[in-house]
Amino acid sequence: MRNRRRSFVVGAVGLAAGLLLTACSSSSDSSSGSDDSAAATGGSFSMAIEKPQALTPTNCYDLYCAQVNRTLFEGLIEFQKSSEGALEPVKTDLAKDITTADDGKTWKIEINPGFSFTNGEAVTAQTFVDTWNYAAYGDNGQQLGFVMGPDQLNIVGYDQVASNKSKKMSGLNVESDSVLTVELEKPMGQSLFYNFLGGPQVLPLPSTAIKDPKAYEKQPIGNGPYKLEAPWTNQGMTVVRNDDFAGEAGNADEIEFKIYADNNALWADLQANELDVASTLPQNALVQAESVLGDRFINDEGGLQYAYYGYPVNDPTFKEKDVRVGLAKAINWDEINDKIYFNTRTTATSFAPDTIPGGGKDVCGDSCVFDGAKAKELIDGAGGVPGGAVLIPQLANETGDVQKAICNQIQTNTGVKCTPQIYKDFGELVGAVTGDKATKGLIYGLGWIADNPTIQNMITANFSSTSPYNDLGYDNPEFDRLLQEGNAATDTATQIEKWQQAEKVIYDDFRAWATQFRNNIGGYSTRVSNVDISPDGIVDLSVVQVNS
Amino acid sequence: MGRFVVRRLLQIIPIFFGVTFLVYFLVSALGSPLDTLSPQQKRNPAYLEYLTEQFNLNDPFIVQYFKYIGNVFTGDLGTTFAGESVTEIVITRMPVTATLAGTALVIELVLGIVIGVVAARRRGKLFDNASLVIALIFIAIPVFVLAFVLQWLFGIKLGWVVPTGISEGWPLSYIVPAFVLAAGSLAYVIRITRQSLLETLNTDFIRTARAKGLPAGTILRRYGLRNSLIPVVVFLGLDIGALMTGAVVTEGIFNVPGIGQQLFTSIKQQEAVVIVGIVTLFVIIFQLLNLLVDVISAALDPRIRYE
Repeated sequence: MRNRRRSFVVGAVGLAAGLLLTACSSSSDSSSGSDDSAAATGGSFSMAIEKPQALTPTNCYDLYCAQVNRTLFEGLIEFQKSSEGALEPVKTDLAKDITTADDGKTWKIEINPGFSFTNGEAVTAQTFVDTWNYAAYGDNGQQLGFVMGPDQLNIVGYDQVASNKSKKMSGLNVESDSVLTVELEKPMGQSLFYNFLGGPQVLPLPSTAIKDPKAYEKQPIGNGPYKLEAPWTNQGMTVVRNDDFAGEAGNADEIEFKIYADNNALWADLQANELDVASTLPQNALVQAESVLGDRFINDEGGLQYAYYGYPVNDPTFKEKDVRVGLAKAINWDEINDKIYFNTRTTATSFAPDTIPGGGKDVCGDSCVFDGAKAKELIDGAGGVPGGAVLIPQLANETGDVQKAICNQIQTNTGVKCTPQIYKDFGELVGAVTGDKATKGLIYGLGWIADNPTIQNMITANFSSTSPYNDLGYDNPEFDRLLQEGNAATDTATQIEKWQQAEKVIYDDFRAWATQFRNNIGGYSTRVSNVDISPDGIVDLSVVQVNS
Repeated sequence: MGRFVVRRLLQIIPIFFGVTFLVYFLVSALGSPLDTLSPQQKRNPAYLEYLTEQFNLNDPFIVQYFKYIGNVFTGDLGTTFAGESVTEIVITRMPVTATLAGTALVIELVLGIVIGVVAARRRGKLFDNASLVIALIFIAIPVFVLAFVLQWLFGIKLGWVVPTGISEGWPLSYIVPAFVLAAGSLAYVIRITRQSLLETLNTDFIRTARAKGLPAGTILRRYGLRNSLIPVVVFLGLDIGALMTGAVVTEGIFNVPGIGQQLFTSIKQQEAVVIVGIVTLFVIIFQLLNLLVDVISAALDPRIRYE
């Protein structure tokens, strides 16, 4: 028998497998400048997604289910672009009032009557309490339960429920059919509280979801502008207009989500006009996307994702700040973005793009400006890099073009030996900087995808000394203090200012720096118009118009 | 013959254990599936605990394996991380792959034998030489190159078919991917048919038939083809296995939601339970097909006997 050897086509996966908790984007409000609030255009169109891990909101951990859930559910908070172009949390049609009487310790949430699930069950205060308790309960295995916990909302009684000791968080109480109260462990500013209520994990679930999660997952029942009429399959799902929806209806009568396992297939369909909306494109299509699609190619700056590099604190290789800054200055990110990413990424100067309130500032300053000669001067002045060599991490599913380019630049500009180091998965990479056998000379790097559009979210998990995900071991009390002060501030302006100061502390220490923001890339067919990808990567499908 | 079949069926039992053990071992050696999650995805300790519990990740490999096998015998093939049952995955995805592989097989069978026979009858002529060249080209082109070229040509440039997916059903959605899948083997079928037929046509009993004055068509159909098809059948039978596994690449490029696509995804995510389930299924199918090939060979050629 002959040997049938076949090669796999492995695309550059990069950050794609991340999560995104914000189920948002500016809905069909007239303030965003579009004047298409006219009558629904009807028709149907299709959109490409990857197969979601799950559709049930409390288990919705990827961009794709967030995208679908935007059509199936109506939550309490959505995000809209402010006049400065930053995303801000605002109440949905479902939320009547969300207020606090005691400076953010206890919150009263009042919902509008008249909303119901498509199976007829009314959405009440009890619905939310049941859903959130269900999400938090450990043995229910809901991936997003942690949002109720200390990382985000921090509801009183979360620990008891997460550890299966109780089924009810004592901080959640039903006052009446339309009012519930939420007691938090620590006071929280309004802006932050609103932001935490913006994700899919806090969307309401009907009681059938809690009774029989397996059956529910096959065909989720929501309370949104569209509904699923049949169970979803490996090929995708079709949502149709929910005529009983009490909020603002979407334009199209029907939206088909097509599941693609491989982005190249999506690109083929888009070129053939067989697919209407795509919010991602394969790496190898970027070079020709603009010439093929023309105006229908989307390349928007300000995506809520950054990539960063950092220097593990316990690695003596990076003890000198001049070495740390020198290595950063030796890399020409503009050139990498241009040559390798075809301008689908933007060089970062802070951890928050300008689509986040208070973001888009040049916090880094001179340290992030490429200057090969200065880089060499700094490193030589500090006595060179101990060991004379550095490593750049590369995950096994990446092509390595970027790592090679970075290493070339470091080596050419500073004379420091640089080699890409391949790790088979995230676990191995994290293990290489944490633990006792940490690799010396490794410039650690990963990405972050915003859970919600706040500076706080962009910097907390990676740099707070109490965060279990602070792989660099970064520990600066000044940073922690400013972050906490920002979190507790009731005034939004003060809050943002504190967070900006915290961000500045990271750059002053120069233990880590954000290298790039990922643009939102996509395209659409000639059959549709008014397609826009929100900074969080989600397309507002309710405003998409089907051309007649 | 009956005893032979029973013996071959019994052989599947040790093969089942061997394969499941080996695959489970190999996948476990890759590391914990939790390692494939990014730090950002690992933020819920309660959820990680739930997964560890659910998939026995804290147990030593051998314990994990026996727990898994124990469940298999109660009919539970396990679930993916997302909670999808492996049994259900196989039930929904297997028919798609089977349709694709079946279509490819028909293409191989019909085109391969027809072209092979014509080439044999016009030995040394233009058609024969052209079919050789084309066959060699198909063998030489990597599958994914052919896939992308045909997808571009028929799906995008000419627009005759939707480039990907199975939304148009059989046969329209399956024809291009099935041809891609079949292309490599098609060339072999052509060559084997041609060669085998030429050999048969040169044997004594054919010459006798000719001498007796039988019409050329009858000689070809009743004596020539029947005897020269045995190696073709053996090849095709074994090729079904290759078609199933080969579908991993083709299903990816044409976005066909079959079992190969699932296998690829699961390998990326190091989900032992799913990989073991699918690979074991492949092996058992392969075994059964092998048996079938042996039985058909015996039916075609009375000289083949099994004890």
